[in-house]
Amino acid sequence: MNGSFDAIVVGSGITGGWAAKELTEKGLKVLMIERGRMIEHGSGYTTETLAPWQLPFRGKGDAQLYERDYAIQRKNRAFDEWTQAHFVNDREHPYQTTADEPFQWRRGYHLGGRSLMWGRQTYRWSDLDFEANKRDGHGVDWPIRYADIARWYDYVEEFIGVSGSKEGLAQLPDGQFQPPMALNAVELALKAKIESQYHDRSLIIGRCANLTQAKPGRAPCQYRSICARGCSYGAYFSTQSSTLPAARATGNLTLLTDSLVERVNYDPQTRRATGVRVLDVKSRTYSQYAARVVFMCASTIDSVAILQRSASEEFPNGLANSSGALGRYLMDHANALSAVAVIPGFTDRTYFGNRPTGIVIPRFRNVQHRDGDLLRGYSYQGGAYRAGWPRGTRQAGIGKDLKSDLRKPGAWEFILTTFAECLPRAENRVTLDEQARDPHGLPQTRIEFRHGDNERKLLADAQVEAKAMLSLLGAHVVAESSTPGLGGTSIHEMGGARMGLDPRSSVLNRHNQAHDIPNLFVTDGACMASSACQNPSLTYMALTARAADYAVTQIKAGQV
Amino acid sequence: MQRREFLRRVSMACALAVAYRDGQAWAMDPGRGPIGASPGQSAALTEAQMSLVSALAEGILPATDTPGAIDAGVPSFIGLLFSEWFTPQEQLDFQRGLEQIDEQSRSLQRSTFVACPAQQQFAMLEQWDREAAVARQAHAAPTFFGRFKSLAVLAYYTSEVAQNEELKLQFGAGQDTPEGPVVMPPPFPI
Repeated sequence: MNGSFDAIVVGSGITGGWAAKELTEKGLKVLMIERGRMIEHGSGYTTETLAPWQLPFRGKGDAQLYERDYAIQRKNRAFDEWTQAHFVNDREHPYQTTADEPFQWRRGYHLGGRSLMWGRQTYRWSDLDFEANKRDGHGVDWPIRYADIARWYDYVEEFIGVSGSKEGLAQLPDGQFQPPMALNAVELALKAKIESQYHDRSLIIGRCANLTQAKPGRAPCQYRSICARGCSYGAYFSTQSSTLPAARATGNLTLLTDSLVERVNYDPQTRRATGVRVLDVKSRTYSQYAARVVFMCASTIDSVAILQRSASEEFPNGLANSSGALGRYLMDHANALSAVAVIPGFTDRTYFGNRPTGIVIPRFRNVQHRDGDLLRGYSYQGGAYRAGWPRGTRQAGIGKDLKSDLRKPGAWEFILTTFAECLPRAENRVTLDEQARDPHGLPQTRIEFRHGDNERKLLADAQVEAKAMLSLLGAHVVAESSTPGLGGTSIHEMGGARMGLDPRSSVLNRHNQAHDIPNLFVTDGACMASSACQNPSLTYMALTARAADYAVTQIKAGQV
Repeated sequence: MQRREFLRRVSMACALAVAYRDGQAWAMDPGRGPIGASPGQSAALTEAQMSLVSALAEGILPATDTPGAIDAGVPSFIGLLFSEWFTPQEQLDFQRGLEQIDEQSRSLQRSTFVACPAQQQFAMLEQWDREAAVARQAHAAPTFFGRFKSLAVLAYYTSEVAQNEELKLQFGAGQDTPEGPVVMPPPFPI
């Protein structure tokens, strides 16, 4: 045994950081284990302020390297020569998937995980979402309702800092917001048109975890929108900027990096998790760590895979998997670029800086009344912008006239993308492939995922409605689609160890506690029983803080 | 989803989502093949080819009251992309494209492009730019000149000279407004 702690937190991303903060602040001695390398806040953001000409390929990156090592990650919008070190090397981290619809698993293995390069969109779920499974019978009923999580949303928002506007929408509850970022002239114009044309629709600024007011140790957003490089201002929420400093300040945190949790150890006599077995990926040596409670926060798919690797005689199909639900009901929002349109006019209006958020048109389908045969709903994210110099790569003109034109902002364009709710289906699942091994000798993860008919219907409806709304500004649509992106491209993986009321059909109870093992908690996206159509990270954070609070009360009561 | 549709979507997202990154479709094509010079293939452009690259780039983005393509180092960056970025097939296509430029120049002006007077060069560039626009409109394969121009624009506007002297009035895309700071396209969030 290499060490004993009150709690072990597996993973250091959005939920791992929160678990570490909450558990250490409540007095527990915590070991947080990260499989990737150390990245310190500020000094670790080595490309943050580099100009394009200071990079070998002006931001485009080394094509040979990308072809060989980043075949999946490079398709991510946030991936470029500045941010490539925040994404995994695909060659070194292989996984299996289906040939016809290959799942796009986008990952960052380093301290902070995807909290370093997340999209920062921060939305509450409502009872429209928590009651959805029960209402239409897809998936199992959530064991919680909005009232159970509302105060934890408050708590998390207050700490991380969320800029946004209060709107009074039942389907997108307001929170503890800092002042919102501004809509631009074209967005304001479309907002006015939509809200006068449709009684049930609105256009609002994207609520995001970028500060508009300083917090201790963190400066407001600088409107650079280069967040994924890491922000030395600490202006957006990440483990490094927010939860890690809080956890470290307690003196109760031990942090291990470059340490891969191979399995969770289990004692069949006590029916408790006893700790974890860890591979030091540099020295290739194994260690054992013990704790009274284990929090799985390794990301949706990796937490599931670790539990599957932890199979034993008592749990031959994966730890805490008496239900058989472990690995199943994987979800990811169905996304589409519903419409892109050129907006006439407004040529005397523009803007300064790069706002790190867009607009949102909240869900309106199946909110106030039932909409035909559509189940659940979708919402749009997008924004209006004036094209910059890159339009010169595809517009006519040469010589001094081209230069002169590119000095000015181009025409306004409006983009509307859609996130549609993904229904939980048993066949979308994560398993281990014993025949294919990773460089550590561990079985590779296999991901099978396909969107279904309802997701396609939602995106088809979203395409029609996007065009109808943009037409209110006399827009000329230049691109449109209702074809869902491959699974994984929304980077909103959810499910695999879902919460539920019934131990026979779910892995976790209402406190994110394994039905089978009372000192094992899973609080990352794996716990989700449905997907809603909002970005899920805020809900993961609130559930983690809530579960940590429960776990500590159980420890103090001698229950775990 | 069909792979072609997926690639189209990725390309579109790249092109539309982030103004800076939409660069040029050639270099951004996520379906590009393996890189590396094959046996017998030149790993660098010849001096003569570099002269033609320079003349084309300067014609597209000339020195005016601000520096032009040559002052901004556009030819050398295109040379770097040729050597270290292009696939062997892209290298062949690029070299063939340069040859065609001179073939057309000889046909139209009885001289290589580099040897033509500036006025004749400009007339040919205008014609090739029109042809590139027609191909774009028809959603046909981009012409060599269209691709070259994309590279030149990318190389110029990402250079220190151009960002400091040509784009000095721009941060992002525009100037201040009463609406305050704004606008990036929608996150495809993590």
